[in-house]
Amino acid sequence: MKVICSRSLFVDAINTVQKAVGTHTTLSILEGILFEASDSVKLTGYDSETGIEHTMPAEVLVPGQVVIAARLLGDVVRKLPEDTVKIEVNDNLMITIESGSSVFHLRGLSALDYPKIPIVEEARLLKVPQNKLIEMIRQTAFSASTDDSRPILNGVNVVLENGVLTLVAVDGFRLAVRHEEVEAKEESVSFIVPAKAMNEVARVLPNVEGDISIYYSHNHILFDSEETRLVSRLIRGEFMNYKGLIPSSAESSLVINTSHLLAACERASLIIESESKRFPVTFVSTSDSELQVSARTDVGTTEEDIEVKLTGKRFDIDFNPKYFIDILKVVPDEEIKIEFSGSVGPSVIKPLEGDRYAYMILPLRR
Amino acid sequence: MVNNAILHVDMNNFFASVELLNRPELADLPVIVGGDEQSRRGVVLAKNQVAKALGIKTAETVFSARQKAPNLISLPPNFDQYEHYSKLARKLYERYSPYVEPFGLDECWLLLREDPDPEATAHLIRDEIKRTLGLTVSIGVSFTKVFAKLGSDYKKPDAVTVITRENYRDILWPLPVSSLLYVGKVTAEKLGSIGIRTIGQLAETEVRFLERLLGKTGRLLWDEANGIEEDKIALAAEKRQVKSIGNSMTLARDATSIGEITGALRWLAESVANRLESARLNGQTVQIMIKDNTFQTYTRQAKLSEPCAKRQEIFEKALELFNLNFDFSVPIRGLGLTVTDLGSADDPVQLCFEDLAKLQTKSKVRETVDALNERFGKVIDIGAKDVRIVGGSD
Repeated sequence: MKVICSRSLFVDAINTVQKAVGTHTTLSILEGILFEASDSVKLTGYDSETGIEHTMPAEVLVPGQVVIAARLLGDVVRKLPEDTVKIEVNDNLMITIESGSSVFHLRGLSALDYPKIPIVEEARLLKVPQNKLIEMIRQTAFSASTDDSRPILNGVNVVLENGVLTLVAVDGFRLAVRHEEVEAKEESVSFIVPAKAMNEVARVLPNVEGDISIYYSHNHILFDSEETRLVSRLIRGEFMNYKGLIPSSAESSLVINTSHLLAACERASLIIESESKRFPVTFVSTSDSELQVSARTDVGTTEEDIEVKLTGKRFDIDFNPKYFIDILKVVPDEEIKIEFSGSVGPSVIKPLEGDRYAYMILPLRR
Repeated sequence: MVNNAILHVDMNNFFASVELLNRPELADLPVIVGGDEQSRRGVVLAKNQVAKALGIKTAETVFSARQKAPNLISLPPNFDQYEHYSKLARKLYERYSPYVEPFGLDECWLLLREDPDPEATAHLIRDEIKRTLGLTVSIGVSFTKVFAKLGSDYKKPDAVTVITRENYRDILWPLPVSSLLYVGKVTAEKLGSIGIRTIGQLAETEVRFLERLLGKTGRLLWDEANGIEEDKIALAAEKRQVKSIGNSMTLARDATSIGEITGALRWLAESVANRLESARLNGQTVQIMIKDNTFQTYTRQAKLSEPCAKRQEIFEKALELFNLNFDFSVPIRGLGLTVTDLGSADDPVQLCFEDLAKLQTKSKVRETVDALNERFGKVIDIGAKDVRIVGGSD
């Protein structure tokens, strides 16, 4: 094999597939990147749950394939001196990487031993705008659970129904829902994609307007953008029936500036150790036009007031500030509505108009 | 005694005394609180003075106690009652001092600061407990926790013993070393093997020699015996930095079936849960220790779904661990149960969706109750745990 390519394209390709490369695996070949040269060059990372393929243009003088240790390859290519890189592999799987006067000889592994990424067979096709999908993932996937004891909640539920695409993520303490009307011919569809894979989709796909093709079968899903393809297994089972959980009415409703509340929560969490769940941020409606955000910990105390418009009852409630920060960072609107129902009832964050998104957070009980 | 004094208050025959409050007619009979006699595995948890005088011992089987006293009255334990009285007593202590450190359900240390006459205060406490709760206590008054505890053991029931810097050698030094806190059977045997049988002999032994024999414990015991103490009594409001709470027992007979184990595990879970509760702590990891009759010990542990101090959950997890890990290929001699991963029970709790469903049901109950109260006056009061009728509006 002999290939000449651009160093910066090569770095981009490595960065794209590296997240799918296994770490601490029992199979050391999974800690490598599969490098395949035919008329262009395709890189693959696969940790047996998520696989990412990325194709880059290159001058292929002799086709071939090899597996290269991912971390090492990334480190080497990033440090190469010139923008042109020459990669050569001999029959003994010895790889030579040259750039300017710098030459590396690295040991490779046989591509024949690299596991096959599942082919999404008998797949059905769903097309949605790529930039919308990325936005929706960023606005929901963080709410999925990272606790492995309930695998269903490690996923994002993707639902298409009556021309509305919905993404939902729940970790048992908070919930994120995002709706978007799409032009799709398919009838109703529902599947659960691991949140980790969804986050990778949002990270590696370019944020462009065109449609992305999503192929899905019983067990797997393929996100197919032009240069990059991502395959993931699907999580089997029933997703949590979240619809009944979001209360239809509330005792108090607040209109508030998103960035002001975000900044206040971030300031309050400065004195709350991130690992400790012992200390909450406290929201108190001191009047119909003011919300007091405060925290009191072993380190000290902090307090500030934010201008709001309150309708309904006054309230005094405790939260894990991280839950609010996560949401406020991704909410696109300048102003939002937050509903409260007493000091142990759920809090719901909504847009002022419509129902494009809804977030529910459960409080800390004193 | 000049400035600070330490009191150790021990509620006499606590479980049995609480039972007798409801059954005063039994006071002159031998009464025990114990497990199921029919199963032949139930053990004595507590006894009254009459039973004690007949030689009945805590942790022996109810069956063998019956041999000593054919007219024995055996009552089933009633832990909610014991906790209730334990809390009342602690509240009473806290009126005398903010420094109250519970030790189990029935014992507490108190620190009296700048008290000109701690002995008089001890008598006030003793009288007030007797008057308000109908229970007797014995109190040790001294300058270390260990001496105060030895003092409360010295004279029972309903008594106060003062151990001063002047008299401790006369009163405490003749006692056997095994009466010291932290001297178990093994340590007592080791000390006995080199001729140390009393606290006084321990106190007069070269400390370096004890350290060689017992390691760090050697220094600790020597300090205890000499009335030297680092350990402070925590403010009642402060939590001690406890890492784990556990208890263990040697079975009356080696166990060869699960039936013989469940009672013991339940009793251990009970006692651990009570101690967690009195320290206002929750734990998330349950660990069991098994000692077989070849003296091999094994420990196994597992996590609870959330931190708690509930006896039933701790018991069930312990039983599950036992069933998962042990058969009876070798008879089992001893059992231990420890809860770790402790956190304050007063920390806020992150509510989850399951709680939400429960709260929604509760709020419906509340709405109904509010409506009833509105109509008939305040007849129903919803507490944190239960609903009670507080009074009628005839």
